[in-house]
Amino acid sequence: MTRFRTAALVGNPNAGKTALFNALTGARQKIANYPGVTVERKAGRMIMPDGQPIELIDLPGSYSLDAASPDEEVTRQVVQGEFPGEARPELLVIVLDAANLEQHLVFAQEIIALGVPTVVALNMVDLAERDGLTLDPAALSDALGVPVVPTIAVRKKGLDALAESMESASQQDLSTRHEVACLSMPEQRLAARNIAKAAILSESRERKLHANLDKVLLHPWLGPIILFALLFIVFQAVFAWADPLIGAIEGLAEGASALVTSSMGESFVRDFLTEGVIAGVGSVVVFLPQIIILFAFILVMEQSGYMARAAFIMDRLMAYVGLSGRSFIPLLSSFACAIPGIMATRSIADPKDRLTTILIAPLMTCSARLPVYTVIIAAVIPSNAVGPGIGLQGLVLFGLYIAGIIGAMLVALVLRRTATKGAASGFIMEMPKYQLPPLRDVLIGLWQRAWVFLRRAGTIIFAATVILWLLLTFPKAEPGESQLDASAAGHIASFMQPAFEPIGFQREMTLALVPAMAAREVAVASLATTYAVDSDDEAETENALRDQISARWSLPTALAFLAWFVFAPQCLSTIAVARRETNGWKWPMVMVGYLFALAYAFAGLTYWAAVGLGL
Amino acid sequence: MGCSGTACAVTETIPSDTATLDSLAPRTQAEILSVNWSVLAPDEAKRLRALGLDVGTQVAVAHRGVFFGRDPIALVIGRTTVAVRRTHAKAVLVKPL
Repeated sequence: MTRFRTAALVGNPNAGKTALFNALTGARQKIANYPGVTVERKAGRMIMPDGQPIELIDLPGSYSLDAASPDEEVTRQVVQGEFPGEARPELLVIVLDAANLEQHLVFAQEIIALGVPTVVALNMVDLAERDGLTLDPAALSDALGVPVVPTIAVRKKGLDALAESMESASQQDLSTRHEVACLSMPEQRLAARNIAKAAILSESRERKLHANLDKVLLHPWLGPIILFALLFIVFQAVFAWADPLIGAIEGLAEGASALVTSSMGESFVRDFLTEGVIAGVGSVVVFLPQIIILFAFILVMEQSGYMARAAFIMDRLMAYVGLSGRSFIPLLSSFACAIPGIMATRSIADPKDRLTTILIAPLMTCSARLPVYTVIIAAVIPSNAVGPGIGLQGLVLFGLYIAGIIGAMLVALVLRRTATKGAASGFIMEMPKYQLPPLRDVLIGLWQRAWVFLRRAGTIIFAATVILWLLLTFPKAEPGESQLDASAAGHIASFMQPAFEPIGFQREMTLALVPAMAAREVAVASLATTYAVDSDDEAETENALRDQISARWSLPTALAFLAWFVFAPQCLSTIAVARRETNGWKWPMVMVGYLFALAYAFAGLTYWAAVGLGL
Repeated sequence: MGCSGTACAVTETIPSDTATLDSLAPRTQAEILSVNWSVLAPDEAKRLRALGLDVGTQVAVAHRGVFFGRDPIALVIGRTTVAVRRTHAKAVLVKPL
């Protein structure tokens, strides 16, 4: 008996394909890009009932073989065996939303007409029952001419039956396939409607839960209030809950550093390990807790079906600047870090919308700016209360976040009329059914994002940190001379200083901008080193640094530095990920160029306005 | 596969009991009489058709957007809810049932 080695899951978006994929393959997944396109290729190992593994791939959700987006084009090419370098799957598993047969059967018929061994997973039968639908899988199987297996992927029900059906699919008699090829779209839809009708045993039109939730969550006034309240809770959580975890990671890094210091003699290698590797990579891994917390919220919002509602609510506001509600999710992610934010733009179908979103993502205040903001605000802004429960320092911090958002909106407005000019983007989005997100799928999603972030920290950020450490360490200082003055980085700063003098920057600040290219928060460490604060403990460093800054910096200078960091483009990994996602250097260069120009102009304006006001 | 959906011409005469989809009162079932596909970008037209918005389909407006302009609009097509912009809905001529 011939047996299959490869199979692919194919189906409409929101059919529960990913949940089924997770249930069938567990955590044994490999995620990469299809060559030449930024579409994710998800593959995993599925163990068949005979104990043999097969490769299962999760194809991007599609509405039709007549592709309307890069994702759908990949699906079409793979199932038709036309994708270069990708073998045609030997078996196709169509995933259908049981509660949405009428619509999902249109694409299913196209797939069945391909004449490849096919099995149908009639998924989410529990939600269909909740909606008052009773289905007859046997009737559906008769009408389609392929086996139909009812499944509930999130509860791992029907998976064994599905696997057995897949295993015996090699004996399918392909000659009895119904002819559906080359029907027009309305004819296909009519056929789908008739098949669905035949498979539905009983139906009540009640969908109370769904409709009632939408009544509240999409209410013209309540909806936005609920969304903004939720976002407020998310940001509170990101900053409050992450604190102890960040402390733990810092402790770990210090411990590792101490271990290396005590177990090795003083040497170049030891300094390289402690100051370069551990301090550098550690300063980035510290953001992992915030990223995980933010993504936990985002994944729950996505998988419960709420995210589409949030996009619906935000669409009108985004439309004012030429974007659509779809850009909301990537921009929200960018508050943790622009890297996952830029990667999340893949869900935006319109290429110009997507490009605009990538270009403005770095303006969302990412968590790496927070250490810079906190230290400088604490140093120069008095901790007065300006109202009940509202401190001046908190207000300034809030203002910096708002400045980033307003900046992003204005830049989007300008970009949509210049560089990314084009027809007004549309907004067409299916609102998925509400459901409780399965913990398992949230955890797998979190693990995948965390892994992408950690891998980046281990490669690009690691390399950048090492180079900067070398620049700061060599050439060695003469006795009496400061290491930073003598180092290559110091020379670069002196060279740059004339350009930054007019916007109120002192040389130490210019110097801090150089290592901040790797990661913005390194600016704090750099300033601390420059002011010769000899301390290993970060909290102590920050306190001491605060005193140094309040003694040495004028208010206009400090405000200019804060303004710089609202736009500050210096993060190599963001530039690298933008290059990958736009397939070239052109757009990352545009991004860096405009961000530098804005940072310079805004810092200068702030400085001279503050000086003019006599601050 | 080489199949392509048939494009529909807009009817010249507009009967009096019809309306464009964007002006349809919420929760009123209506049947789509015609769609002016030329107003939509090709990919948007494809997407809307794939979501079931086509001549002969029954639709209802479930929710209208927030803020000014009451944009976008959530449509109920069969058992799915689909968000579209008002400019899309304007291109769709419906007859309330």
